Amino acid sequence: DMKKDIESLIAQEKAEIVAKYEKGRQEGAQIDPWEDADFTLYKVTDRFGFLHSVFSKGILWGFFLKFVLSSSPLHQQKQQEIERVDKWLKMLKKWGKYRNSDKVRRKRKSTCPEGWEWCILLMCQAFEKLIEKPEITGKYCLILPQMKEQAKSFSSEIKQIDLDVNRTFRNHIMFRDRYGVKQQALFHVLSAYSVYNTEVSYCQGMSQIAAILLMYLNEEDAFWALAQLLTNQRHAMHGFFIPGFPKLQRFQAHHEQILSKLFPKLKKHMDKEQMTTGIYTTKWFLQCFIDRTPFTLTLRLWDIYILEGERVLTAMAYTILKLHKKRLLKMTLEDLREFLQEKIAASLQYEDDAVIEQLQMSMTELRKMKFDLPPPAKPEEFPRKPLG
Amino acid sequence: MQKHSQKEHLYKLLVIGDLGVGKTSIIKRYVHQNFSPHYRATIGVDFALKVLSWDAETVVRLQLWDIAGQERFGNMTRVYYREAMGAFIVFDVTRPATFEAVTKWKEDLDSKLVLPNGKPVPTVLLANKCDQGIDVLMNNGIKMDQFCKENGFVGWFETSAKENININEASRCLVKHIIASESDPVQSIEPDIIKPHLNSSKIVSCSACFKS
Repeated sequence: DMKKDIESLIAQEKAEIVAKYEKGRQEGAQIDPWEDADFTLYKVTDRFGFLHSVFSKGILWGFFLKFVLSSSPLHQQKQQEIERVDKWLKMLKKWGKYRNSDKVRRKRKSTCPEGWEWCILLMCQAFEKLIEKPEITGKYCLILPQMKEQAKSFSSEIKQIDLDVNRTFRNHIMFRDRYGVKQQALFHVLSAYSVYNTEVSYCQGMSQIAAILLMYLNEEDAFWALAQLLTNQRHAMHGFFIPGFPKLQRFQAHHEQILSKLFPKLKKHMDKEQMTTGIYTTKWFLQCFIDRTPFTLTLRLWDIYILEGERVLTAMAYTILKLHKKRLLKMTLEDLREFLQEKIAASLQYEDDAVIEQLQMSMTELRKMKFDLPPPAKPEEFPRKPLG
Repeated sequence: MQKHSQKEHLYKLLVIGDLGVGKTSIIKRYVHQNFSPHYRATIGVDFALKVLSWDAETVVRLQLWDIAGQERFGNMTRVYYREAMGAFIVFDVTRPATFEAVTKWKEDLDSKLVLPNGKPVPTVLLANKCDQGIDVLMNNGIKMDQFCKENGFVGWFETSAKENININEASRCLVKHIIASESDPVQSIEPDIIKPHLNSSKIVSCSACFKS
């Protein structure tokens, strides 16, 4: 009897959640005061708030633009940034037309930080790929609305997604408001994806990835970018999130191998303290360092991840330990936890630029030793059931 | 300073239960004395340390292991059950499904972990978010004491990480049972029968703690 009660309660709960996101923050919406993030929690600097105002114009090129900005030596000077962004926006809206034109080449020269032209070009390509939509049907624009509709009745993850939306980047201006526009979009992207890719459905950890995409993309593009990240060849995050986490295990095993070969003393110490790779690398690999590095650095790591793919995961994990090896050797389990899970999330104690430089060195170093990637994936890491 | 005479115990405790029931909040409240409604989801595992001066001679260090609630993480996180001496199973009083899952969590715990003497680890049930004014248990007429007895919990508490209700008490109860199970490995411990009231100002205690 109670079982039946619970089933109907769950169905009712689901319907209520869906209705709340549909209603959003319109008049009459019932939102508990404590559900809204406290203003005092608002920590992300206005630099990102500023970016928000630019990207809310519905531009697809957020990642790329941010890349231009974050590598800019002039980043303190907002006015100049805005002007430069506007120039790029105009051009990017007609990217297809301009991509190989002299004008773009000239602009790249005049408006890009020196030495970054090649990077921007690659970034453009990577980004184009990221938001590529399946053209086979020619009806990709119908898929997301369809999935959103199906999710309302068939997704078993509505409650879990709701719980996680409410604790995703609540200190960021876009996700601060309960049932606000970006929370609605996040709920839609995740619930739609949960019926689009039934093998993954929804796994904790995906909400923050979708949220980072939504910081720069509209709902539809974020959905397809998430779909690309999970199933394209370069990122193939499907294997990270399916039950059993086969790709995570493969990356953790490889990380351990790198440790035993290159930092045997540190490995021995961490083993003795029982600080296993499972404790500290899970978020590193599943989410490409979200929450585990300062936000400015996280965004840059994500740029590199989008550009170069999974190599950055292996190399960044190696880099963090390399930078702090001496210190780590003296730490107890509790200190190791605090350091790796909290302290470096506040500050890695090096400038972002210095970390990125170290990271690039690590990538080269690991590549030389053929350690840059774990052994290839088994077929189980890839989708078996049709998507959509 | 009489430090030389102090005994120190280190106990590993697990905090498990469905997604979003407030495991991380309970740990943060207990260890850092604060609460935020906006913690992040725990991906995988994390842990925190709480040091208690148990009595004049004893310091107890509690290592609280915060285990991701989504079922999918089960196989990954079960390895961290190893060598745990006690557990909290948490549910959310406003969500019946999370109470339904309690027996599943308990059975899973007992199947993965036993004390060196072969007995199940002492486990306390936490009915969290009791400040929300929606009580599933009352609505369904569930006899919690009976439920705890039948399912092998050593006690249960209505808790609120938000309002800091009963978390210290629940922890003391669990530690007491751990110490008892250590010092007298064959003694079977009667479940604690308590029903704390939110609006009562009296100090909540746990009946078996007086017995032992």
